[in-house]
Amino acid sequence: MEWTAEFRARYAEWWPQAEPLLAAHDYSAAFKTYPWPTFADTPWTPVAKALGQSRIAVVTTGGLYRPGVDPPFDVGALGGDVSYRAIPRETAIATLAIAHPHFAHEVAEADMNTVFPLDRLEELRADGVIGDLAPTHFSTMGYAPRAADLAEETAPAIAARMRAEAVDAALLVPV
Amino acid sequence: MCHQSGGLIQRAIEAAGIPTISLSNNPTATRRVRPPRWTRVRFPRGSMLGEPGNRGKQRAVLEGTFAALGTIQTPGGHVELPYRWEAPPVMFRGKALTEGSYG
Repeated sequence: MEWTAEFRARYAEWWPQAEPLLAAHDYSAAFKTYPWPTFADTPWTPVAKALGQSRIAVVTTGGLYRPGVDPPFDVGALGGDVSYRAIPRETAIATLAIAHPHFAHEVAEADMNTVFPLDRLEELRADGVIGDLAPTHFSTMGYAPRAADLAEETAPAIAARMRAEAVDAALLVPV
Repeated sequence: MCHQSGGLIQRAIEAAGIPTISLSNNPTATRRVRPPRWTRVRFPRGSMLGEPGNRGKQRAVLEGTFAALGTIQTPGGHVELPYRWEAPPVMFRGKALTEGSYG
């Protein structure tokens, strides 16, 4: 990716003065000078299949994981955590834990469908609105300032797993 | 920066040959990362599908979003969904949110 080399250079300049601000939880000040990647173009794959025949996968950035099964995300890392978790479609979503500290959890804890709507998607599948639910869905941490690493490591890994599971369309839920 | 993270992942999935769509309650952040397709939802941070337990609204948001997957023809295009938050505001860092991300 063409933008990542420049981003990494700008990130390296940003980090020394951002780190103490992040350590003090002054995100507003830290991110005033963050080198936000900005794109003029966008990738494009035409929709090839009717929704009623499509296998759907969902990605949430709410930092969800299965406690006792998956390692938690590194909430303490000032530079964020770019790893992902694979959540099987059979998972009882009420049992998922939330690692993301930058949103109020009460809503998601009351109903995980608000950030990871697997139950609603299963209902849509049962009603024939969507064709199928992929065996695997995905969770990452929204707080991931190392954008180049996320884009070059995490994102292609998730895409490859979706390809391997013959996913026809993906839904992204940023939290 | 959830919209950036989600957007970067979305771009990679689309580039790998799988069409995608996302939800956004922060159009400024979403436009910066330019995902292929998105729907705008006017819900507060931490609740992108509507109120907890509101199965009808959550389902409507999903159906509206999947419909947009089929109708958006311009890369980067979006659809505005009409639903609003119908519960007390969500408190985050001392702010009462009924719509949008914090900062």
